[in-house]
Amino acid sequence: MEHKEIRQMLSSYLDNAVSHAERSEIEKHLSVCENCRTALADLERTLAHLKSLPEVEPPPWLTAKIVAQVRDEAEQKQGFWRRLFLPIPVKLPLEVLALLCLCVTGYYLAHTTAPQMKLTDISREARKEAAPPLAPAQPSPAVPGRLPPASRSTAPAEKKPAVLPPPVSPPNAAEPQGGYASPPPTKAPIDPTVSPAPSPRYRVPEIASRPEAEWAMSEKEAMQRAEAQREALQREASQREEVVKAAREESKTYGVRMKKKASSGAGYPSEVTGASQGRGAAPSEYRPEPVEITLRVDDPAAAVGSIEEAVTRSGGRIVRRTYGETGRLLSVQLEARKYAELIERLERIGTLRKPPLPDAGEDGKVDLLIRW
Amino acid sequence: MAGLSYNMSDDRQPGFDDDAELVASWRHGEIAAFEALVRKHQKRMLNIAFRITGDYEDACEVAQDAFVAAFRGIGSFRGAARFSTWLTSITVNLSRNRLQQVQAKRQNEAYSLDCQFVGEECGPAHEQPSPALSALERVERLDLHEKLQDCIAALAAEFREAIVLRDLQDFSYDEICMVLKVRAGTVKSRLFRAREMVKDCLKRAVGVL
Repeated sequence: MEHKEIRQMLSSYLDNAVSHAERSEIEKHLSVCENCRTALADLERTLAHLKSLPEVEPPPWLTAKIVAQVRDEAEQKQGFWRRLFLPIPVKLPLEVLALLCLCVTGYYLAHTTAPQMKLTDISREARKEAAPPLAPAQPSPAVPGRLPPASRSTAPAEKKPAVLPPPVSPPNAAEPQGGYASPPPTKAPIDPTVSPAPSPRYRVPEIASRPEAEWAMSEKEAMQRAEAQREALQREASQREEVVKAAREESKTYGVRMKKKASSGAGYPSEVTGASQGRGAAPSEYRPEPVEITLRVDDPAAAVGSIEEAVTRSGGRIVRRTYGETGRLLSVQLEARKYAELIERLERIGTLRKPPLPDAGEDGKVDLLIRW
Repeated sequence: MAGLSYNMSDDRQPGFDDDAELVASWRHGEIAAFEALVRKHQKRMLNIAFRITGDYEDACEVAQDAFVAAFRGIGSFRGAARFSTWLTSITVNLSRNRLQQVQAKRQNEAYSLDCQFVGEECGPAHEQPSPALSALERVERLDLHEKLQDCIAALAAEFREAIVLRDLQDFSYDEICMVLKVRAGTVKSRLFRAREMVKDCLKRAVGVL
């Protein structure tokens, strides 16, 4: 080994970290090299100084601080799990109860937020149409020419038992079970002698898609409402019939003279005599074909309110609403002179295919079908 | 390294760990066993941290952090090395990190040899010179120790760690290899260079060694 290598190994030589061969070679070199002997002596003194460096003492609080910190961490770790699960006899039932509550709430929310059709006025109207034709009005003991008070004709109906006869249903329609109200047919027969009620009518919804529970829930309410509607119609029909009856009896009494008067345009109104200008026995039944107005709008659902408002502001009366997913139809009765105003309002809502001018009825009103 | 003979005391025999029982008890949740280990090793860890960082307060914090880190990471201690070696490794790493933080902090500060490492609670105040020395000798010795500490502090971190572990804490080469995770040749080389630098530094500081 050279002098430089020997010099670098002096540090390991002092630590006894050299092999026996290296040691003998180093010692042999040291015996002849004064510089290496001096370097070794300096190195020994340096190591002696280093080893003489005193040790510092730890502060008295160090152990306590370390242990306290470690204890805190251990307790926090255990405390979390202990708080979460212990004591088991108390916490476990509470946790099970909370879980059950969550499940029930989730089930309830899942069912209440599901799309559904509410049993409201639609079913009431449908039930009214599905109800049996009104019984013929009781012959009124009133003197001809004198209208009986409304209470007299409604009194017998009010005395009817609360349970009504079952509504008319198709012969092969399956009867619902469990006392549910039978679903109304899509088109119920209407007594031709009874004029349609002025109240709005709705399209009958799909019966099969309606949950039975809804029928059961609103059965009582629907029956009561149907009964009230039926009584109102009955009242109206009986009044009308009495007017006609009285007119006929009077015409029999006064004979041909009255007929002549009637044919000349004087005397009783045409709706009573039925002889006015060959328009038939029931002038109120004459109504020209409704005019169909097609409206194109961007958002049909959002346009419902605007269109109904336009009709109302124009003085029109909404006779029937038919709102489906594919299209919407609004039957409107309007005074002919306000037709242009309505058209103007509708043009503000959407693109309008201009219909021909409607033919007004005898009462100066036109029937419109607004489709969008 | 098998052919090398190192300075080892009896309790440093390879494969023998006198802390094994305490460590086992600690693993079973006995905080008292951990406390016993703290009491046993805290001084050594504090001195290692003090000689590497050069600051007593920093060294206290490093020692505290090292024991807490050991408590948290006892699961990763498999017993391949002795517990003291594993703990020393943690302490050296934390001391190195602290030293880097301090050096980065002092980068823009003016270097002052006189006041750099003498704090209120560290340095000579904690040293316990032999009472047999005269007052003059004690003063000279304290002055020498300051110079020596300054020379150690002037070393790069890897040389500082080697000289602290070997010459101040009397670790064996094998242990130093495990603590620093370097080979024996690297340890020898680092020790040689570190000792030469300290020797030169001390010669410049005090004249004759």
